[in-house]
Amino acid sequence: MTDPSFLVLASLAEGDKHGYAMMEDIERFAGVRLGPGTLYGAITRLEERGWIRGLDADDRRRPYRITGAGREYLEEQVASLGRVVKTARERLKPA
Amino acid sequence: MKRWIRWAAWLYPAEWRMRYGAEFDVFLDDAPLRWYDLADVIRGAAIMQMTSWMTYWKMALLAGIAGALLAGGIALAIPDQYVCTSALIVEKPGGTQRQAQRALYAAAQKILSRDGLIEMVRDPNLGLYRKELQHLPIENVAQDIFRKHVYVVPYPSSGDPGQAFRVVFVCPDRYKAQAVVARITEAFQREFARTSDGQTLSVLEGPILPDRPTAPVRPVYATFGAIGGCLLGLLSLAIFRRTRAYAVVTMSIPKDIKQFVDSQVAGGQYRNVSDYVRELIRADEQRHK
Repeated sequence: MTDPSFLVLASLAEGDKHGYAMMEDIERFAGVRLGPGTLYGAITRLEERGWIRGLDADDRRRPYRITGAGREYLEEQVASLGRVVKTARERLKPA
Repeated sequence: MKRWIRWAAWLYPAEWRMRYGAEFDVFLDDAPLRWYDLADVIRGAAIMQMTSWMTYWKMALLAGIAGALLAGGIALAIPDQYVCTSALIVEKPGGTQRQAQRALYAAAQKILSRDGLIEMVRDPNLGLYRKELQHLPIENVAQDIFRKHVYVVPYPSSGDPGQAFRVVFVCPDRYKAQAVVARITEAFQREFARTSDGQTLSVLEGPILPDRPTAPVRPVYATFGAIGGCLLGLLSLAIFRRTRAYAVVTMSIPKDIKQFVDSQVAGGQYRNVSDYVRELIRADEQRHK
């Protein structure tokens, strides 16, 4: 749940964002503050893997967009996480 | 704090800074930064450096320097050790070397006996092992510590029927080292004067104040530290890189093909889609050989 790559993909699934906007969005929806090194480490990895891509920017704030492959990977991760959550919820039910 | 973090950002590899540097600087301007962000940026830069071949040897060199500094620091923390010696000879006109050896052995047994050592440790003029005596009984200091630092070492003398030997004492204080060897040398002289049995003792070389320590040899420590640091750095980086040796390829395939691959994986022959594609590529490689 706190994997920076997952959080960045989840943030970009809503729409294009630059670094600081991602940081704020992630803090809002996940309650996790990614430090500058962690955030840009995740952005670098995701771009290398082709799961996000940088867009041309008018100023130096470069926005990023999730790619088709990135969306597919995020869907897989969400599905997998959903199964874990469902199982945990069932196991937590009183017998 | 922003200034420190901005400086830390220069630790990233040059190629990373070319691609992300400008926007990272803007990000640092926009974001409210905290003190622990400095550690986060340094950590991020270290990870980026370790994944870059360009800086592989540079990191090994840094690890070597760190190893040398660490080993040098350890060597500096170890106190200097001075060795003082005196050379003596036991002989008897018309006697044999065997007789001289027996006489030396008997005298050494007495002088370096438990009581003899305790007497020297107790002597305020010598002032030995003051720190140790604060938390250990004098018997233990004499037997377990003093005994390990004082030696009587026989050595062959050229064609002489007598037995030459050295009294050796190792100590962090060069004046104490000399005083103890002088005391033991005098004790041997007194012992042979008292129970001579025809044996005479001559001092070949008196205890000289040592002018330089014999240990620790700090340059050797630093060299071993540097070599060890380099090797450890290279090994750690190799392990780090090996765990990231897989390249990630993103593929787009039609849904019906994906369903087929999924069914193959479900059959248990492959662990996942990547495993299936790897097997296909290996089979193709074999076909081309």
